[in-house]
Amino acid sequence: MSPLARYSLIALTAAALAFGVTHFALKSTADTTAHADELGWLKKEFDLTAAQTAAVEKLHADYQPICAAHCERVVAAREKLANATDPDAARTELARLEAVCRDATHAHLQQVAAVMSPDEGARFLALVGPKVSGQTHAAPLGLK
Amino acid sequence: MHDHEPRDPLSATLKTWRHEPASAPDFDRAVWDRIHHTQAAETHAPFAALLRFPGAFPLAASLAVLLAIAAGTSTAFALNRSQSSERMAAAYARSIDPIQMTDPRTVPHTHSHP
Repeated sequence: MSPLARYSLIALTAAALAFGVTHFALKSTADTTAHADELGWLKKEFDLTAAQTAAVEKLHADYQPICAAHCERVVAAREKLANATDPDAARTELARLEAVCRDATHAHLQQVAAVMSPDEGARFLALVGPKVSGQTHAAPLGLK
Repeated sequence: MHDHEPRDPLSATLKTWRHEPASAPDFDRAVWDRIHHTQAAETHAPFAALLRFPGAFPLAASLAVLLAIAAGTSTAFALNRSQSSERMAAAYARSIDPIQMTDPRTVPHTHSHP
């Protein structure tokens, strides 16, 4: 094996080892902190100022009762569908409730994005939007 | 008595002798062929110059290894950051999406219902 090939192989091996060790170490760290709170993540990920963080926390607090009420209605509608004598009507009601939930969730996301700087808001919608129910990767929230 | 030795014909011949070698008919072409061949060989092996300087090669190789380690580490950081962002974004979406929260296939939601 020529010296050039030998050193190239050593360099490739070193790169692979460095990648593997670093990735494994970071992944282990991430697994232990996987349940960190979402608001803390928002603040760090989108560089929120103190005022922006307070505004997002208030939006989140205001949204919690709405979200809980929607959860309760959706659960009730699902239970009703499971025991329904008229499944079509129950299914229609569940679909209507889910549409209401989706609209409320989308509106909340838009409000949170509006608190951020325009660039970070767009990035927030592009990152979180596709993970909300009823969204596709082809048309994430707020992006045309 | 003779004042002069008889003249040596060889000396006279050497004084008048001129060597005029005929030029090789393909000399120029042969030189250019060698130049082109060398250039082509260097093009195919860009690091071949290093091989001619054994003292410089270990230094360059050490730098390449260090760069490879840096590249591997930074790629791992970038990948981990991307995966972490995706994971946290999914967790955040789940925390505000009643449909996901109440979906029995996903993790239980965290609301305390009234």
